Formats: sequence, C-alpha cells, structure tokens
Amino acid sequence: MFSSTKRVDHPYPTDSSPTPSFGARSATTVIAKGVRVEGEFRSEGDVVIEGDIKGSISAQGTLTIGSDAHIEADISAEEANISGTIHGNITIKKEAVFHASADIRGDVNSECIVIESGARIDGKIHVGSSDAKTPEVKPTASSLVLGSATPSVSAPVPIQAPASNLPPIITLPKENEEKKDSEVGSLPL
Amino acid sequence: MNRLYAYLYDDFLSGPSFQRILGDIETRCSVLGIQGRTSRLAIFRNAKELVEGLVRDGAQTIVIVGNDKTLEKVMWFLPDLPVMIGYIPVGEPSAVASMLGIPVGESACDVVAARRVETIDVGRINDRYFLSDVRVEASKAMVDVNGDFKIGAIHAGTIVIRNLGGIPDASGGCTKAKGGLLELSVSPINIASRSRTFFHRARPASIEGETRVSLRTGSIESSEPIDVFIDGHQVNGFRFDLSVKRDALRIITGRRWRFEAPENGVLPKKEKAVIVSTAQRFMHRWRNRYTR
Repeated sequence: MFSSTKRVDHPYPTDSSPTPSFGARSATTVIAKGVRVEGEFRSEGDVVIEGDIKGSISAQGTLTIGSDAHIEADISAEEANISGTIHGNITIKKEAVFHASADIRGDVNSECIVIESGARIDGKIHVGSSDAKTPEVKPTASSLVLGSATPSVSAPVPIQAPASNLPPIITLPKENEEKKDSEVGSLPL
Repeated sequence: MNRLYAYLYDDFLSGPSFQRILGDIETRCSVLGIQGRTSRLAIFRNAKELVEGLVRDGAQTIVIVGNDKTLEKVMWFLPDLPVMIGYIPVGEPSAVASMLGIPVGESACDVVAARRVETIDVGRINDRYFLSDVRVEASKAMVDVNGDFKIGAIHAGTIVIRNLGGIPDASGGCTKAKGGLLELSVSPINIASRSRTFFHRARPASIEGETRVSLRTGSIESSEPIDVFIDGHQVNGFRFDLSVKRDALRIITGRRWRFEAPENGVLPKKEKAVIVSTAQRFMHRWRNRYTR
C-alpha cells in the first residue's frame, strides 16, 4: 500500500525477445536453438552453436557446439567443445573436446583430443601437430565407439597399418661386403 | 525570422492539448534567434515535396517537431537532401530522442540552438532509408548476410535489422548507427505444444534465444509475401535488399547523447538527478541575477 513503486516509462524501444545470455557482443557469436544457417559462416571470435548449420564453419576462437546442434558442415577452429551432431570434417588447431553426447561422422584432425565416455566418432582421427609425420591410424571396424571407462587413447583397437604405405625395406651391405660388391660392380637390391 | 531554419510539425500537434507546449517552443525559439518557417505534415500532403520546397527556399536546418513516429515519417528520404536535422520531441514515443540526448519539450530548443552535430549511418532497404530498424514478425524468411551465408528461423521467428537503438546485450552496448554495420537479430519462435497432461497446461508458443550477427549488405528473401515494417511503415514483398549508407545523416544531438540504451529501458537515477540539478542551478542563478 505504501510502496514507492512508480509507473516506469520506457523511453527506449523494448523488444519482445529476451536479453541474450552470451558474453561480449564483439567476442562471442551465438547461433541460438531454432536458428538455421546455410553457407560459409566465418567468425573472428568465439562461436556458440545451438542451432542447425549447413555449409562450412570457420572460427578463429573457441567453437562450442551444444547438444541440440545439428551441423552438416566442415569445421575449423582454434579450440572446440563439441556436444552435438556433426556430419563433416573437423580441423582444430589446439584442443578438441568431444563430450558424451557428441555424434561425429567425419574425419577429425587436432593437436590434442579429449573424448568423453559415450561420444561417437565415425571417421579418421589424426592427433598431433600437422607438421609431425605421424602415420595415420585406421581402425578396422566401421565405427569407433568409445564406451569403456578407460581412456580412449589406450582402447584396445586392432591396428593394421597398410603395407603399401610403408617404404620398402632396404638393407645396405656392410663395408666389407661393399668392397666385394664394388669388385663385382653392383649393389644388391 | 531566420530563413536557415524550417520547422516541420506533425499533424497530431494540431490538437488542443498541445497548443500550450507549442507556444512555449515557439517563444523559446524566437528568444534564441532560431525561429524559422513552419510547415505541417498532413495525410494528403507529400512530405518529400514539402521538405524539398523548404530546402529550395533556403532552409539549411530542418527541425522535426513531434515524436519518434514523426521522425520516421520523413527519415525515408532525408539523407538524400543537403540539410542538417534537428528534433524537438513533443509527447511519446521519444526513445530516439533519449538516445540522441535531446530532452522532451521546450528544453529541446536549446539543444537545437547549440548545434552540436553528429554524423550517423542510415540503413537502406530497397529505395527507402531507415533510422531505427526493420522488422519482420513471425516469418520463415531468410536473411542473406554479406553474400556469405543465409540465416533464419527453422520454424518461424522475428527478424530485426537494427541501425540505431535496441536492447543492449551483456556487454552493455547496442547499435550505435556508426561503423557501417547493421545488427541482425533473429529470434525463433518455439512452436506451442498442444499436448497437455493432467498436471500441466499446454505449453504456449515462446521465443527461443536470440541470435545476433552484423551485416554490411544483405537481403531478406521469402518464398511467400511478407510484411516488413520499416521504421514502423509497412511494406509487402518477397525480397528486400539491405545496405548501409555511412555518415549519411547530420543530426543535432544533445550533450548527453547516448547510443547505448540501458538494460531496463529507463534512464538511470544518476542521469535524472544530474538533469534536475542542472535545471535547479540555472533557476537559482536566474533568480539571483534578476531578483536582487
């Protein structure tokens, strides 16, 4: 009865939409749930995706994909936290974290990968810097489902490196043999 | 009479309730030496031809007397004219006046006389300019952003392309009509749930989170005809091309112009207190000077 509440005038235009809950506008772009994007989406800062995207995504900051997101695009970012569904190749410069609800169908390239129990990845995984000449690991099974409690890096997956990719084994003869071969005039192949 | 100034009155000011305030405004303008030719907007009068006539007669400053809707009635062609714009807000709504730092009523005459000019961007949609925003309500239209990608709501949503104003985000800022960028906001509508259980009512349609991106050029496209509100003016069509005209409008602003609206839409108490104390100080000095 004696409250001091007054009728508040709103000199500024008010939208029916609620104030967004993301961070600084200049740093983070949010694709909210219920929004779809088609085409080449590029951002210089962090990106949070909770909607649907078709095309390609490129972020120079941290990419966060929510559990309700559905993406049919190739992705490249500095870092990534992935919880949604992705059909496409993923290239992350630093660390890629795949949470339990992640469902990936495509290749993953990252310097460091963290895969939570329950995440599904169907494709090639390349871990390490792109400069290092590490052989690619191809799982023999059609899908790689990591559901054990042990870390995924030590998961017992049969690995069979294709022989055609390895260079042929060359055994060089010893010095004595070289002299003998020089006398003969040819080296054994 | 100062021929460099021309005053454009809105039609709603012809009512009896506004006669006193208009008299005060005209008196104050004559005291300040900025009284000029006056014209009145009317329904069957072409605003563009009216203003062009004033410019031909030598007016260099067009002063809009009315509210934000008056400003929006003439903004669609003003950036093409070589004039400076002044604004004397009378009545509501006056959101644009608040952002420009212009007080409502007679005090705005002092702002016009001070001629503190800001050059701001103006948005363009097809052949019209807009100062505040363009809205598409509850539509499946897609917006092409800079030719790179298209964005829209999956089911239906509200699309707002903003040049000036709006609700600020967590960083505290909103669109400032500077920098050559428009702000695109997409707010999808969550479809209402028809199923209802014994304990819960059917879920009504609600608005999901908002998505904001910046754009320089773009277009609004739809397979069905859509209603687009350009500064409140309704236009119907399938496609609307968007762009920004940088530094297109010279407008007289107040000393406390602020293109960042506060979060709750109300001026903070500190700002109100400063304005009141300034007026009180002026009255105190006036009394001391003329009553001794």
